[in-house]
Amino acid sequence: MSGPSFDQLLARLVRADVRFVVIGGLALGSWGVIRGTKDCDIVPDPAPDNLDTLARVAVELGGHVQLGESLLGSERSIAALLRSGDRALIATRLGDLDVVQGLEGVMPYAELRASAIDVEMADVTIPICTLEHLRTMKRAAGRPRDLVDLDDLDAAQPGEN
Amino acid sequence: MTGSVVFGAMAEQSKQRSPDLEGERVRRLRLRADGQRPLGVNLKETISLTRKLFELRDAARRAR
Repeated sequence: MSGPSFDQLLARLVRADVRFVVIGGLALGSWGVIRGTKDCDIVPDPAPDNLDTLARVAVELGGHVQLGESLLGSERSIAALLRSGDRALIATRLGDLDVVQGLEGVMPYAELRASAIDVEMADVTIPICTLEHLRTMKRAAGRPRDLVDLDDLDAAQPGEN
Repeated sequence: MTGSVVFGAMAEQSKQRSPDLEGERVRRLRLRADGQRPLGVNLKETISLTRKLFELRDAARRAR
């Protein structure tokens, strides 16, 4: 398998009118802390129609979710999982998509979207969470990797903390 | 203090700095420079770097 194509993955979501905000490693990189990231983290608009569209695009990209012993690979099963409000790591042929929902320390979509920065990439517009929101989420997560990221963010964006 | 003396003092200071400290200083300067670039440029570079790292990992696994 070749490496993930997160640019294509994000473009597919945008073109299908899925509403989301990018957080995690790709947001961190956008703000200047450029490092590899294992997946593409997004917070989706929790509206059922949006989650259904997200599930449809994921399945079109060969998406499946490993849930214990179960493997969810149909549009219906992934949509049901997303509608339940749970976080879902969807493996697609363009890379892993981490759909973050109901996670403590992560703001709701509406709050993230209200101040997100729209970034042009290729011919689509990708909403990236603000620096302030990114820092808040990193502090809440509090893992060693997050603390290193916060330190690096301070170096990349001095005077913005 | 003349320019050459200042330069000499800086060079001496630089020589005394451990490689680790020097590497960290350079890394932070790079972070600062990256932080000033447009978000779209950084996003593309993060995606490109990620792809390369995955490919290197896969190549290393195949070589085992």
